[in-house]
Amino acid sequence: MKAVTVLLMLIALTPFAAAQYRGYLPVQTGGCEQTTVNTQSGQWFTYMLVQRDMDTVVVGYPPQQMLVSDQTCNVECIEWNSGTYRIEITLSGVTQDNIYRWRAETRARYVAQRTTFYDRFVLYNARWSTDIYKDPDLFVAQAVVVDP
Amino acid sequence: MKPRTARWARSRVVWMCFVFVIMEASAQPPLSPSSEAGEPIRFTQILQKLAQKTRLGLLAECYYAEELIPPTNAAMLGEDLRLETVAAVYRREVVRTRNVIILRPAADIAAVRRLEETQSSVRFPAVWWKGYDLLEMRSRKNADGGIQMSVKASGVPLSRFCEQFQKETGWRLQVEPELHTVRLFAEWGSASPGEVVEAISLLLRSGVEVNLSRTAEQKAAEQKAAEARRKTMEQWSVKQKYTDELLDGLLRELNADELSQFQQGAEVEIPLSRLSPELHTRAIRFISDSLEELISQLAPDAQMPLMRLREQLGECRPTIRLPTPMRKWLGVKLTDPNSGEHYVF
Repeated sequence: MKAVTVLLMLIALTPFAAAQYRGYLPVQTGGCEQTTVNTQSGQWFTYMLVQRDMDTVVVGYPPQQMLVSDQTCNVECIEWNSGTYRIEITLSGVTQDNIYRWRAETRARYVAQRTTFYDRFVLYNARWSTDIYKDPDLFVAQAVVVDP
Repeated sequence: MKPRTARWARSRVVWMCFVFVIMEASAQPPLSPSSEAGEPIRFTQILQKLAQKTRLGLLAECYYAEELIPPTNAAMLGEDLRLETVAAVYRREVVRTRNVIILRPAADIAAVRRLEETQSSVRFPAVWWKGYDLLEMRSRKNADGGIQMSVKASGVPLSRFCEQFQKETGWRLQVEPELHTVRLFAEWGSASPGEVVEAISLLLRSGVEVNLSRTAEQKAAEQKAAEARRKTMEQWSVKQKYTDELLDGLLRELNADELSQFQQGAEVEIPLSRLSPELHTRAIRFISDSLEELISQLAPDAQMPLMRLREQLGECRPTIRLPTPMRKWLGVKLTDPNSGEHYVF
């Protein structure tokens, strides 16, 4: 009977133990490095996207706050309008303070007159949707002005 | 005759007898091990010896009659078994795949032999292929799911071979009922299931039908994943929902030439002015919602031109861009009435 009581108490306390490790959301930031990119018909061009995600977690007892960098940062192109090809995204580098720099590259579409295209991206944490460290997805759009 | 001459003649005769005996002995055909033991030479044993000699796999069809009756010219096999000799003695033709040597009977011989085998199996069930149950198959999957297998079989029926093959690989190998009783000798160290099937089909001169299928669980899992992705996409862009809603109606508005271009993957645009009133209203809602979504995701100083266009949407000659193989959603093109510049999103 005693053993059962102890077991039930342990089960009841489990959520509090888990609560010691908790991410404070949202803290993901990011966007396009340049507001507008200019290029010409048929030319290859690149632009940069930046992303940073620092999670604050509470550890131990008495609780102490700790800042940790989320290393699951990722990016996906949702809509590519400026390029004749699918936009290639590569990781250009990660700085000391956990800024991810992504390079988007494509070849500009052919236009008869000045046209502004908008490409859209989602910056996200590559984590399961139930993961408490997953920040909400961040949507950004890049304006690309293409001249004939 | 002098005693010395007589002695010389006697030793000469003895010497000649000795040479004659030696020559006679060497002129005898070599005794095969089986004839020494009084046992017939078994075809499966010969195949096993051949398999040990080669680094390739070996596959053959066996007949019980050949197991019992010693070949009339067994002496030709000799001690040092050679593939060509065995093929000649047992009247097999040699066929090869990349990794397997196949000893295949001629088509007419196979037909006759199989018929005889069937008759004899009914007449002599007590002895028919008794003691021939060697069937060893081992398979291993690599990280990518590719299978490599080793096979050892001696005198086993094809139906049993197929059952084991399915257990090891998951490949269901169906053989027509008339071929179920075909007995196989097979031995190879490493082969893919595809190579095994190819070798058997060559041995039997049979066609191969391949049926690729997924399990119900796989299909359900893939369906679930696709639905989850679709839901994510709906959260990522209002265009997903509007594309589902509007595309069929928009395609009905196309003329034959435009429809043909669309089907060939070319960019096709429809001005809103061409749409029916009902479709026009829904299309305006689509453009307006897409515009709102885009503005909210742009840096503040990049929002201005679009905010201006939003105020005078009716004058912007709004056009809907249909999807292409590369772009799965509907798109929008607006033209600034003042500068004539286009805005595409």
